[in-house]
Amino acid sequence: MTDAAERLARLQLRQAERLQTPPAAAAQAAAAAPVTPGAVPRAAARPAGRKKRSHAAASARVIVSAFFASVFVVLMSFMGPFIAVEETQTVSAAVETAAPAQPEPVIVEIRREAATAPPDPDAAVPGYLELAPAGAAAVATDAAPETTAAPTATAAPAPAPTAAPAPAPTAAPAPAVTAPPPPPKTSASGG
Amino acid sequence: MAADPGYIDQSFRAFGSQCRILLFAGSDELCFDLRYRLHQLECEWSRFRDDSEVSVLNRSTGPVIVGDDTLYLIVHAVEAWRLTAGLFDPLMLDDLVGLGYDRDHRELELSSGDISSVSSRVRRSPMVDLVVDEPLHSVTLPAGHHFDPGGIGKGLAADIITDTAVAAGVDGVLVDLGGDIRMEGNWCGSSSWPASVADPVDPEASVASIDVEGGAMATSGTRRRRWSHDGKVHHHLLDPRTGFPSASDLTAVTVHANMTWYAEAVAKACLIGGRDAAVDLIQSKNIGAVLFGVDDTAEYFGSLSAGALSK
Repeated sequence: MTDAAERLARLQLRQAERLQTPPAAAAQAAAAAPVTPGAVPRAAARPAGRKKRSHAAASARVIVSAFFASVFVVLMSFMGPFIAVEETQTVSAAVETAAPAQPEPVIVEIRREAATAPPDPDAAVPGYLELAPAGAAAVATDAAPETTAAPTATAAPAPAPTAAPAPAPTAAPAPAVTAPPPPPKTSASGG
Repeated sequence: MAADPGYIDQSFRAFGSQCRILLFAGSDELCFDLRYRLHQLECEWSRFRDDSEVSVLNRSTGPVIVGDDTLYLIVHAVEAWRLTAGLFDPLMLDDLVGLGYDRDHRELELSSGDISSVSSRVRRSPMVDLVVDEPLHSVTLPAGHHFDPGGIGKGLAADIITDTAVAAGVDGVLVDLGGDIRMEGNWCGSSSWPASVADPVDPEASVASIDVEGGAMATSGTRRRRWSHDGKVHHHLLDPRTGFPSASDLTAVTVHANMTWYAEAVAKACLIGGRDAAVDLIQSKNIGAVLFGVDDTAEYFGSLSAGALSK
């Protein structure tokens, strides 16, 4: 056989084997075949129908995917629903309330508002001391005192404590007074 | 170095008056703290300070949230008005300003003349419209009326300072705020305090002295703080029933009770109500008092009765 006839016969045999054997067997057969200068061995192991890609293209694709993923996360975080939490409501309670309707992550906004609104002058507030006339213009001779003894300050709210710390009562006896001070005097100068 | 006299005696000005704090077995630090506390009360209650709580309340047109001290003052003023059947009225500031008392009394055009004739008009007390909500610390003044702490403010301040000193453990304390005095504990080791009553005409002189077992003494009079306005002579004790200076047959009343604010309110009510009403009020309250009439007579009642006095 001539060289050309021999090469043609070998080519036909390889094509027939490729059509009849699985890719692994074809790969083994190709590996067993004499290596032709310039041929790439890895190309024989590549699955059929798959294109060869470059490293640069794969890296670019990863970078673009990561970029769009991060943009998505950022947009979701900014576009998430705001939930107003009143001061009397705990944050966890507010989240639980809003969570069923908002499957995506929620952002909780703490809104501090006045704990007590200004009193409404027209509203009937319990505890108001409504002062009855009680004969305001009556003369003192007609006024029946409600108490016979002078009132004490115990019924009124205690005044704010002084800034001074109250020292403990002294156990030591009072020092002797060498010369008495001027006695107290009441006068109408106070008005 | 001067010997320790055994007490601390400081005189100073506060509440527009000459004041004094006397401590037995006290300390300079405590006396300083008491004076500071007094200054705090003046800052909150003075109607001559624009930033005081009383001034803020008087500028308001609705409910005002006040502090503990101011609420304490207003509650006691309401109680004094009620116990005196309206003869003590803390809402007469507008009537007083209308008569020319619109500044500190030391800046007024003082006069020693007789009091001008009194109108016969009938005044309805605005106290019936005052609303105090103690739990909320809210006070609502009647529209068009303003609160005047006046003498009850000084009396209550004297009580607060005295109680603070007693709680601090002093052996004895005297607080004198412009003639409204409160005494507790011992005087020079004795429970008897040698108090005296000033002459209504000459406050430097004393008309009587008495040993009392502490308590409070307050005096109201019309001999002082007179001024001229629109050609008429007025004094600062207005009759709530008319809105004009009292035309009572008494010129001064001194009351001895257990609390200064109460003594101050009763003394003012007795002076405005006149001699007969004052006697009934004093006897019903079972308190000591001295009534000075326009005819220069003096009557003594209760713990200040003539038998205990030595002139």
